[in-house]
Amino acid sequence: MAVTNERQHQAAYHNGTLLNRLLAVYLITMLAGVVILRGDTILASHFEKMFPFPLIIVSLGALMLAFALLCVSALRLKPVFGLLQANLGQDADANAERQTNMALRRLYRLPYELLGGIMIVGLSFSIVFHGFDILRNLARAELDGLRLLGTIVGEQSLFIFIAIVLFTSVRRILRPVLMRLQPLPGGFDGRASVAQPLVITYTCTFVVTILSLIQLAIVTARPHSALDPYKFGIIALFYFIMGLSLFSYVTMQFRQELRGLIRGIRGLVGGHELPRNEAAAVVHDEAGELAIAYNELQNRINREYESLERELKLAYNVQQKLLPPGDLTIGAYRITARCQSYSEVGGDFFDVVSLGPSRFAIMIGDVSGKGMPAALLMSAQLLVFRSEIRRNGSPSEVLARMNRQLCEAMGEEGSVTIGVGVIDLTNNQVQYASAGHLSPYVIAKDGHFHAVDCSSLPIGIDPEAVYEEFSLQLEDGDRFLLYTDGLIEAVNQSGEMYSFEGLEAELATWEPAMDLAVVIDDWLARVDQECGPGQDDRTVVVLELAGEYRSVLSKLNLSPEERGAAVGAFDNPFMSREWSLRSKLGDERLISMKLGDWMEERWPESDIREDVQSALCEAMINAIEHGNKLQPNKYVTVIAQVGSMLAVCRIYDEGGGYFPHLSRDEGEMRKKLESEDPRGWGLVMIDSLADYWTTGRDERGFYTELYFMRKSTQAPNGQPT
Amino acid sequence: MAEQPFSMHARKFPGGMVLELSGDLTKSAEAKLIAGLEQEAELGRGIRFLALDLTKVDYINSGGMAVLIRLARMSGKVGAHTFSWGVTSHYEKLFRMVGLTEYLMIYPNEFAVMQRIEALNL
Repeated sequence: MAVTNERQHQAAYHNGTLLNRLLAVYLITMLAGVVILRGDTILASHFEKMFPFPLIIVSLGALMLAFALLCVSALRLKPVFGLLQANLGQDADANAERQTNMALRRLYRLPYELLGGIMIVGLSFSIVFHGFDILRNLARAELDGLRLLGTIVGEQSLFIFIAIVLFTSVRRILRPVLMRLQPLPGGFDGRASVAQPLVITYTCTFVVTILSLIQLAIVTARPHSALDPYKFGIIALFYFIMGLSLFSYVTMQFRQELRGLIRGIRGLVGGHELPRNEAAAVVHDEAGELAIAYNELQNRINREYESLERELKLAYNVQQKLLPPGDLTIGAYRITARCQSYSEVGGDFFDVVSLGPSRFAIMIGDVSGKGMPAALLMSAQLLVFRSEIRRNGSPSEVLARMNRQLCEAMGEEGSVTIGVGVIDLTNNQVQYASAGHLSPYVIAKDGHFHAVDCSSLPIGIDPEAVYEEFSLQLEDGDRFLLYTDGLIEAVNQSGEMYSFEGLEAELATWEPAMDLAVVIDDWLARVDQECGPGQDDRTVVVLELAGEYRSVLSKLNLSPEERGAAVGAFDNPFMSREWSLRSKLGDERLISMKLGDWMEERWPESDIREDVQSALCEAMINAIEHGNKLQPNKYVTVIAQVGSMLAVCRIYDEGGGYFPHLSRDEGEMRKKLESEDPRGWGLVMIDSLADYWTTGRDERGFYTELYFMRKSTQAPNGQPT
Repeated sequence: MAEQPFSMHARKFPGGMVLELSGDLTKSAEAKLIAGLEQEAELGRGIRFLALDLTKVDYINSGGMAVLIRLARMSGKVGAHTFSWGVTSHYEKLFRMVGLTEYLMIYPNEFAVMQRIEALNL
């Protein structure tokens, strides 16, 4: 109820405003009429018979006419007011369209009615007033025909002037109201056209000017009174200014209507959306139709743009899925990689590929150019790299083969810079080759760093290019940094390039104790803050030798035959069993039971079944919770092999991996035990239950590997004998 | 053997309460166990002994151990002693491994627990 009242109040306010505006226009126009009349009378005293009343009477007459016009307007616009009230109050009912039609018709007609009305009033005034005059003078036979004609012409000119000003002003005032009365009722045009008022106003303006000229001509033609040339000049100037003002006023009114449209077109060209009210409100004239056409055009452009944006987003997702995870652990190495695309799709890429139990490759690349072509080339190169590095792991040969393929496929259309490193886990040697890529850096544990200089052509330029290969020895704690030029060429707010100096200054601040991922994220965030998103993709790949790698099997007390059997067994489907489960907690128990059954069958005298089951469950829970982050569409795979003396289980997940480090420090254990949420016992249990455990990565993904020795006695404290 | 849903039954004895647990003791049992205990036991007010019957618990993983640690520490904070029986040798080993035995005394059966409680009551 309160809402309705408020709305009605609002409607009343709107209606009141409209009437106030109309009254203001009427008053101003009448005042202007009085001023012109006064000017006329002063300048051309010959027309003293034109409105031969005192100024006060003329003003009062004008005032009355203004109020009369207001009453007529209020009466004529009654359906409009009713409709506005209904519109604000509630939605249109059944006969709304008829009402709208009626209101629109009234709104369109009012200016014409005023125009016609004022003209008729003017004519009637002249006929009645001068008709009486003529009759009286005829009787006295002293009629001055020329003078009377001059007076009538002057009066008509004045009335037409007033009519025109009212016509254009009222049209302008009613325009916003027209815009609110939507929707467009079918088949309504008639007076809505913009041409009609244009023709009428210019015709009338022309008539006013002509009448003024006639009046002037009559004044000068009067034989008995020679006109002072100065006075003539002033009168001419007065009429000229009056005519010019009217023309300007009418033209400005139409210009305003066109401006709205031009603004819309500009917005369209600039890619901005049209202001909502302008897009929605359409007047039923040519300008309105043009606006509808533009709206349709804009909608279509928007749709096209949205679909393009969707496709780009899809392409971005595909690209992101092609790239490996940003945080990876392989043996003793930790890899942190970040790829920031400048636009939706980028030309930068990196990869990490496992090449068997003791080797893996890292790669960084940058496709020349940007946007979709670069992104497509990037995707293709990434896949080519993966297949080529597995065929033969030598970086220089891989680059040479990729180069030939690219040259054959693209001619000289696209070039790509690539840096490839192959890391041997057993001796921590890196074989590195570069195809036009920026020199990598090696940052030692003590903070010293140096660039590995290598110069060569990018791939895709010369099919016969040869790539040099370097060998680097990494020490414990070393970091090997690969990056793309988007980082070096980043420009800060004061226009300075980040450059190699910026990079080296950054490297000097790196602390070996700090977590690598934190260091990289912090660094890139700072570059982002200083330089903004920039004009190119930024990619960083850092390889960190975090600990010493030792062969697992060398740590177990096994005979050489057993070792050989353990390694070979994994690739032999007859000697290993495999299970997969979705990442849902609870399912791990069934698999551990199956392994327990198998183990009991193979090693009937052994009593480690429960230990194996618990350890395996914990490893699977880790894989589900931390590796796959409980995402049900990701799988955990268990491969187990029970040999004659050794059982090995590998639990694969799809995550980035973790280090096989476990602190058994008394203090830390106690802290864990006394924390509010005393979790994280999984690794403690695995560490205690398995004879040995480690982590690794191969083409299937990251894995935790558990080793169990065949035995039948257990120490009472749970430690293996 | 598929997953066994966790359930809990509480019964009181003078000065204490026995919680009979059954099914799989995992992280998912936490809400049920802690909430049930807080609601029923009003630890510290009249209940000085909490006894856990684990005879019908077949499987406990690290999540379940964490729940037991939390439970035992909650009772310890309000001055109640926590006992348990029905724990297999394998899980007893695991309890020791993670340090749970510091908060939770393990006895072979209910009789032994009650005797110990009587001794403490004297």
